[in-house]
Amino acid sequence: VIVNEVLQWTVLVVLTLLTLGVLRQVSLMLPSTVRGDEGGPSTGRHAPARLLRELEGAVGDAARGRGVLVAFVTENCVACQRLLADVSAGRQKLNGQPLVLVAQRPSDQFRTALEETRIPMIADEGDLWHDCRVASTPLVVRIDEKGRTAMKEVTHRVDAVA
Amino acid sequence: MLTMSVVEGARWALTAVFVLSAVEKGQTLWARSAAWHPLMLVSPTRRRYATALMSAALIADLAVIVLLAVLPAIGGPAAGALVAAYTWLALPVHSRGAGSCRCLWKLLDSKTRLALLGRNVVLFALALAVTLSWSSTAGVAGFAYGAGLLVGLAALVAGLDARPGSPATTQRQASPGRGERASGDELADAAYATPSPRGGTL
Repeated sequence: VIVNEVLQWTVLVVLTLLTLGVLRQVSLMLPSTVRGDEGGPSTGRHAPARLLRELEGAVGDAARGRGVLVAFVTENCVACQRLLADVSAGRQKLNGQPLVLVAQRPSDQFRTALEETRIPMIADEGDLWHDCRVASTPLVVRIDEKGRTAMKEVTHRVDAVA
Repeated sequence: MLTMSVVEGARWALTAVFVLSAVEKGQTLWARSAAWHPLMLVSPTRRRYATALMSAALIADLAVIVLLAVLPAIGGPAAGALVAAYTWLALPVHSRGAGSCRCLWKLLDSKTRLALLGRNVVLFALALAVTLSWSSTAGVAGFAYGAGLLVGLAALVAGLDARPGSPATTQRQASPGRGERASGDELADAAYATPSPRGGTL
């Protein structure tokens, strides 16, 4: 009787997890236009002036002609951890485009860890976050050479946006 | 009889908590991102040996899960010791304002020092109960009690995190699997970015 009970509960838990997994996969397959608003600067329009100024300061002339990738990250998000681990270990190909990390109010330790990656970093006090309407992280945005938002995606795969 | 069922429930609850803990660590190790876990960002030494430390902790979690199932007389004290050790390791995360210790796969995550302490004191008490009066049979009778204990624990953590004035009330909330999503208030407050009038370029 006990074995049957345990098996029943196990099957129930496994089925629940499988259902949740299927729902997640379905939502990931939906085009970004029908998903919920993920925030970020509007695609095809000029990025907020404050962001462009900060990027100019972070990467200078390096971004001219090639555009720049911007990754908005926070300390506690799982996908951000994965993104940071991948880009700091060079596991993602960015097609030669410079990457800039934007962290919102990073703790001292997080800031130090970000600086150790040698990837240009902007420590934001909330203004950039607000201007860029960041609602989810990690938000990866590609800004073209004219300062327009060419593409954006909430993903840990920076190379998917590069 | 009721007491034994509650103790069995404590055993189920502790086992579930350590399963969550192991899943959290396994997922982080799988993504090769141990060095970026909030618990590892606390000090350069932890960061340097993050993968080894997290692997060791994962093995300890798995050992406690097995011991709680087959040898609760040892599993109880081992669980208590591990809870105490994790509490000591996680406290600095909240004192440096990181927001969350990212413990227990977000399901029983604490966003404030008080919630962390409250949750872990309860877990320690459960481990103590298992140690003092464990049952040799792994009965299913306590399963419902275990589920009840976990729900109560989740409510306690949520309540402590949501106290007025708590920093957690301004933290970003989880969007499972895809990162973090801002709270409804933050979204409502967020105005659409106004394009630069002069169309600034890089």
